[in-house]
Amino acid sequence: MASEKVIGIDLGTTNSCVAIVEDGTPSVIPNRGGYKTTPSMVAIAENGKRLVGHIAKRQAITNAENTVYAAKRLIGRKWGSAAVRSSLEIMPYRIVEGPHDDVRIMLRDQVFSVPEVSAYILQEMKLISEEYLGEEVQKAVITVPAYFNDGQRQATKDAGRIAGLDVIRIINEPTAAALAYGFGRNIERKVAVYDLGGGTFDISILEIGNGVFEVISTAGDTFLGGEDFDRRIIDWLVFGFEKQHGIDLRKDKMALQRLKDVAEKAKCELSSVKETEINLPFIISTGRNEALHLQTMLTRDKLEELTSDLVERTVEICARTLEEAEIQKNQIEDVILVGGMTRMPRVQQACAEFFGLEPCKGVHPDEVVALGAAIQGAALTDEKSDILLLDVTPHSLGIMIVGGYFHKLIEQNTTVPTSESHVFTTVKDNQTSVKILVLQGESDRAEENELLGEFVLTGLRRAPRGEVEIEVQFHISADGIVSVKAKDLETGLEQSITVTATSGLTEDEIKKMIDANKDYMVEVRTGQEFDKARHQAEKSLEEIESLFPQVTDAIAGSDFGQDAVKKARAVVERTRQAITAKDLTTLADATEALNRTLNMFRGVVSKTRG
Amino acid sequence: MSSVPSEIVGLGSSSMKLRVSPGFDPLKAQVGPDEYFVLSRIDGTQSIREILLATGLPVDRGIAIVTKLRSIGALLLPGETAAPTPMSVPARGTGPRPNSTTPVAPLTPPHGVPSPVAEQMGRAPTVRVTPHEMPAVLPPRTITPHLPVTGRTPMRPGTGERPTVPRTMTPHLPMDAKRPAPPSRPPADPPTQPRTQLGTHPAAGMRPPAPESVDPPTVRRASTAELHLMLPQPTAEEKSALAEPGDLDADERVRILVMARLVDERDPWALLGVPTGSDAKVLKRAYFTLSKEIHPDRHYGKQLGTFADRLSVVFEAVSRAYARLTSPAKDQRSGAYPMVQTEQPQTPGEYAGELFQRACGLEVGGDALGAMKLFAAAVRIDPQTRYLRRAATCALAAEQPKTALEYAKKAQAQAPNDPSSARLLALAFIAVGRYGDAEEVLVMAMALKSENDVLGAELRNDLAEVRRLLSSSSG
Repeated sequence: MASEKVIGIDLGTTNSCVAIVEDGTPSVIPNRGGYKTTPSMVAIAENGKRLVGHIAKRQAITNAENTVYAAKRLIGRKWGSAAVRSSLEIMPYRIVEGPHDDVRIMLRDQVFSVPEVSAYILQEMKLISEEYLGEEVQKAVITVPAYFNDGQRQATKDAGRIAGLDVIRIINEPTAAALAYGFGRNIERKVAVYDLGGGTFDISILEIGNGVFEVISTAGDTFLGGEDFDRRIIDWLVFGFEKQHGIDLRKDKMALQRLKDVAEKAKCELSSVKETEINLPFIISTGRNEALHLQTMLTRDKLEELTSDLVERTVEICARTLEEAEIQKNQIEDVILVGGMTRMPRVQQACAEFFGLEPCKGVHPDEVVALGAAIQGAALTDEKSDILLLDVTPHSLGIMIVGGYFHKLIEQNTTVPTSESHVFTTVKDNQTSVKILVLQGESDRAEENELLGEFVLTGLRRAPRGEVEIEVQFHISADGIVSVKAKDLETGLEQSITVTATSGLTEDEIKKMIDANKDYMVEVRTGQEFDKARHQAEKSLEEIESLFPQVTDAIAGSDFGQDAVKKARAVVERTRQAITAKDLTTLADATEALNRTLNMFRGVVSKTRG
Repeated sequence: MSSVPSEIVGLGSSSMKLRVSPGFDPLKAQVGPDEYFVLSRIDGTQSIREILLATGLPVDRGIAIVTKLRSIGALLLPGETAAPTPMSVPARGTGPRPNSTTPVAPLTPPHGVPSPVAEQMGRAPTVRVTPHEMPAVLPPRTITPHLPVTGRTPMRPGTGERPTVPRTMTPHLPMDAKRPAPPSRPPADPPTQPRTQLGTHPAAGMRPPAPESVDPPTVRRASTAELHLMLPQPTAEEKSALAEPGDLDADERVRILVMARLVDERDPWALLGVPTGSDAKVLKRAYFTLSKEIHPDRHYGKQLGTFADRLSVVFEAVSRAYARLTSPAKDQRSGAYPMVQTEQPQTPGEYAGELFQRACGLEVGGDALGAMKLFAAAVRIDPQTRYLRRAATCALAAEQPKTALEYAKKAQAQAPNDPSSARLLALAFIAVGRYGDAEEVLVMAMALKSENDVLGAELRNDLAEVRRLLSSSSG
């Protein structure tokens, strides 16, 4: 197999980077300007020309409305999501609603989808590597934050396709960083990757040994990153300015763009100096045509105070991740810092304090992710490569069951490829079809999770509820593709889907579907106690009602026959009331009595028969 | 008689003074009389030359014996504290063996390789391996799926008769370049071939170990006869899988098929190819090594045919087995897999029975609280109705009404037709003050009970009592 070149692209929120493995050595490819990273910015100039990277950044101040930055924050997200709502306020460019509850960006009256915008950046990275290599490049490994869901990953893949790239794999940024860290070193240890980038925070725990990189656990926050730190500085500046002049700078898009630039610059400077001067002359003019200037000092202490809760949040996520993975802090032998934000002394200090060891200084926080992507590209296509990445699925996968609950089949942090199956039953008597809604997420409520796809299994035998068994099987392939199969165990009837694209359903729509499709639902042992109790009670009620006539006949002769039937009726009534009242404790008590009565009823019936 | 050479191949200078390894047990090693005789001469003060001359054996024979004793870990060189590491013989199954008439390269079992020295002496060809020389990851119950084709070693029972691989078999061992080879090969036998043409285990060496193999690919093809030894009685599906076009070579296919036979997960240890009860480190090494062979990513871009699915299935099973063995807390089904192999003298049921008997003894002796504890333990292990009823009665006597109610409920649920269980439950309800429930249970129990015997009378009395309690508590 003639080894085709595979580039690794770190498609970042603020900057992107491309790398390749040549003759077994990974290296970053510099762009035309000699820079190793390229701003993830796209703009449409006045003449309609598309500008990408450094050029786009340079004109951003004068063309703020038509310059897109941080598109990664919007990729694969739904219009109705909180993440998009908050972006609407802070982005100087126009964000509009797309036809599939997705997000579109308006630049000079032209509407672009977010994957399109990302594709322009990827195309630029492709061009940079083609110029460097002197040949066409088609294959790429692209990195995404570990906590990206399937929709965001799929959208990133789509962006690659639009850019003319064959995206052979999407891998997680912290994992890529670990690959670059462990590449060519014969190490055997547990490491933590703390990745605080422009827009996202990720933490991953990996076990490295014998060229194998096993992801043990990964978690993060897709809305916590350098941009949030910038915003804290902007808010502080705006607040101070408003107090002084009574003018809200945020209303002026040009001013906002300048504030953003100066905030980022100040933040970076404060990583090496203790204080910095912020100077924005002629930031805005008053109604009386009088120009105002913004001039102030920002100290490192002030910055740390403004952002202390953000740093604290990352530490909390680290603690939770370790706990979930059942790993003690002292088992971590090295901490790798990734992302520009980890240059901030307070972040480094927080990391060192939490893990109790000095973070590894051997990797370059801006380049390590792209290098890792290139290494994974080589691991897949180069026979000589001795590296294997054992990746995990970052979110749980499952289906919606009756009551609108989410039943997990594959837990998060399961090594892929993997498959899991579970048997479900019908909810109603004579139910002939079930709808399988494939969901991803961690919430118990179906509508709080991401819908990946849906299909209907029809032709079930008409039978009492709970009798028809349907096996649902999930499979995630090594490249993260999810397929789901539902099978009627009785007839062998099968339906399946491969989850490819995201359907743009909103939470509301899912809620509506829950209501509309009650007859389609499947049932399972759910963790939701009341629900479980109610179903149990309903089943018992049905049976006990059917036994009443027989039992009444059988015990009518005995002294206490009438009494017993009356008692049983009372128990049935109590259960019904508890169901209506939706009170778990009363229901549990009532069900207990109900089942006792039911058992006795059964006994009576079997005695009369025998 | 020739004189003793100054340099002995594989040992060193003949003027060296050897000592007997303190941990060496000649009985376990089954050395012969002349070997033991030589061993008994070695005292740490005489040189090899002196000993050889003192024994009176032919010099060649003497050297052979000393070499053998050294190779089985009996002798220490000056300055050594631990028994010697076995000589650097190639990993199992390599190189042509002297005197071998086998037409194909010999496939040797992991335990006990015939020693040419022993053969010369006409001894049994098996040499025991001292414990510290055992490969760290060698399963204790390993049966190699294939043995030398020559008739000298008995065939594994069942080979060729059973279509499936025996459960105890471990068809693969994690590759470990540093793993010591069986120490029976004389040092004079140099590794003539760097690698075997075929791993001795079906799943071993699917990929040449890092960095890369020097073998041309053609050398690694297995003969038809060998395939059948590793994959006894292949099914039609397996045969067609072996014959289909694709990029995997024959031995890679066989290994995957052998592992696919093991994925039913009944023995995760066997699937990972480690001894039962291995620690986390051994498990991890085995998992990583196996993953490097069978993870679909390691075969990315190849034409795999039906093996694409097989690789995925096998890897998934291996990864699940690893997950279960390393974090059993997360797996509810882990109870099926013993974490450590324990010699259990009795079944849980038997143990519960024993606890129950002891509890009854205490109860009779008047120690209701002590009896309670034992009943509770018995019920936890084996919640059968008899134990539950007795435990409930005991709890009532020990004035632990809540516990009594818990057990009585379970007992009644298990025997809903039994009025005496119902009565016990009613008494427990009375004890916790739930008179309404008690009345209900008693009424039902009476309805159940047609004959009017002692129990019937008791039920009536209880019911009257409950009704009295009910009216007084409401009044």
